[in-house]
Parts: sequence; C-alpha cells; structure tokens
Amino acid sequence: MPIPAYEEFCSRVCAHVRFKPARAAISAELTAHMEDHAAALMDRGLSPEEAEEQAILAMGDAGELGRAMDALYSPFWGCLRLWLHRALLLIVVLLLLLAAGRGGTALEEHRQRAAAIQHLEGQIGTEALSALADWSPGPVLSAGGYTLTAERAVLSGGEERTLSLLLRVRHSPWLRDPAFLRSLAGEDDLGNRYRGWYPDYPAFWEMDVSSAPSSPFSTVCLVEIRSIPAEASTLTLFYDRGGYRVSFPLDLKGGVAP
Amino acid sequence: MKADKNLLSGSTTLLVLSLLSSGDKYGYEMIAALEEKSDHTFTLKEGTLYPILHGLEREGAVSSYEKEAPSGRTRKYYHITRTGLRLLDSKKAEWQSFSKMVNAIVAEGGGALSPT
Repeated sequence: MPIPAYEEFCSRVCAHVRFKPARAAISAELTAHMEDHAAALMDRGLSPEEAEEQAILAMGDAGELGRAMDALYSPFWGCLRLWLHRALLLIVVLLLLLAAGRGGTALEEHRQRAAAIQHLEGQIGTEALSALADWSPGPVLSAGGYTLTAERAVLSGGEERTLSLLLRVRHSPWLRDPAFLRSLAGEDDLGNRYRGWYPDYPAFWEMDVSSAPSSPFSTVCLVEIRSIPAEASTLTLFYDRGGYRVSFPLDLKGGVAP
Repeated sequence: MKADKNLLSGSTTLLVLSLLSSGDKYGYEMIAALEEKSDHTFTLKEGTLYPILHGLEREGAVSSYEKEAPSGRTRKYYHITRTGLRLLDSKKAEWQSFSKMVNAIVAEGGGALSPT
C-alpha cells in the first residue's frame, strides 16, 4: 500500500512535469526507490518512521527533481511521440484487418465460385444431351481497373442454342460493383443482337444475368444467352455506353475468337 | 571524507554507465553500489539519478524493463546498450584526459599558491 509521505513527495515532483502521461511512471519509479531505500535502512535497525523520513530526505529537492524531469518530458514532443505511436498502432491494426479481410475474401470467392459452378453444372446436367461444347475461355477483357474472365462456357441446344457463361470480374475494393455486367449486350456474326434487362427492347433474343453474392474484390455471375441460331459461329459481347465501348468475341465452336 | 558535490556532478553519467557496464541494475541498487564502491565517499542526492537515467534512455544509451522482486515490489531495471558502451568509452577517455590535466597542474603548483 503506498505510503502517504512517498505519494506526497511524488506529487510535488510531478507537479512540475507538464507532460501528464509521464507522471504515473515517474511516481512509480520514485516510490519503488524510496521503498527500497527504507527497507535497507530498516535492515540496519532504523524504525519504519525514521527509515521513511530518511529515504525521502535522501531524494533531495522535489522541485529540482521535478524541473529536471520536466525538461526531459516536453509536452510538445511527448504528445507528438504519443500520437505517432497511436498512429503506428492504428496502421498495424488496419493492415492486420486488411490481411484478415483478404483471407476471408479468398474463402468467400472460393465459395461463390463453387456455388456458381454448381449452378452451371446443374444446367449442363439438364441439357447434357444437347451440350455441344464446354470450354474455359479465360481472361477476355481488362479495362478501367476491372478484369473480366470467362471461367467456363457451355454451348447447348439444337436448332436454337444457349450459351451459358460463368463470368468473374475482379476489381480493386474501392471501385464500384461492376454494374456494367447488366448493360452487356451481344451480337453474333449473323447480325442478331442479344440484350438483357430491357423488357421493352425490340429484340427477341434473351440474355439473363444472375449475379451471385459479391465480395469487395470480385463478382461472379452466370450469363445465359438464349435462342442463338445454329448457323452463328461467333458471338461478341460488348459494353457500349456514354461513348465508351469495349468488346470481346467468343468462338461458339469452343474458344475465344482471334 | 565526503567528496565535493561539484566534482561529482560532472561525472555522474560516467559513474552510472560504469555501474551498468557490470550488469543490469535498478535505481536504488546503483546508489547502494556507488556508496559501497567508494567506501561511502560518493553520496549524491538520489533523485538526481533519475533525470540522468531517463536522459540516457532517450539517447538510446540505456534501455529499461520491469521485473518483480521477491518482496513483490516491481522494480525498473536499466540495461546498458551498445550505444551506451560506446558513450562510456568516450566518457572514460574524456575523464582520463581531464584528470591527467588536473594532476599535472596540481603537481606543478606544488600544493601552494604563491602571490605574483
């Protein structure tokens, strides 16, 4: 239990220390010193009261000591160091959170991919008899910080065919969700156009975009382009809005067109 | 015989670093060692030790850590760093050169002042 006389000495010292966060450590160290000294004096036969008094006297002038300590703990540099330390700690915590988030994201991406592929497999299953081609076109487009990859493509049907595409868009977390997927349009080499999400669009070709849950780093979706004539050999998907046009062709025989 | 405090105050950093060069110590342990080694000649105001230690810690000459004593009291130990050892060498050289000079002057004076 702290001895009041030691506490009083320490508070007289610390009254001169303007940088308040340093006061507790200074008091603790000085108190420990006086306790050690008093214990040594008691071992030499002094009474606790005498030992306590001599231990305090041996410390010297509290004001002088306080001023010397204050010179070492300038409030400006002390606060600067404290805030730099806090900022560093915050950066470390943020980096750790980001690293943990990346780990979680990777798992989430894996889960999404598994779910999307399972869905695609289910579709292939229903159309297994008429599956004409099944291939992995790979990365098809990279623009504006987004990388679009056609992870899998399945062409099925008879006279009228359906192209099922498993698309993944990777992007930085600070970029918006790739909403452009909903504005993708298609055109085959016969001049037929395919468009989704526009019920009043005059074309009767269909494109469905069913988005799986997205992570901050990527979005997976399944695109189905239906009613493609059997004669069509190439399908070009494109985004064409506000003067910005990007496109990528797919060879319907099983691969990315040159 | 007690030493003149003015003589002592200029060399406290050298004394503190010398004490720490033989092993880690806490504040009171340094005071006790100083008194014992000097046969109770060196007695400094104990509080003055701490601005020296904290200043040396800021310079990187010493580092500190806390350890609990068998009595349950937590003590702050000081450890001399490589920077501190280099500082000790330079302080020793400074002291040796200073004492050599003082000795030369004292010897020349023959211990008595003569009017000019």
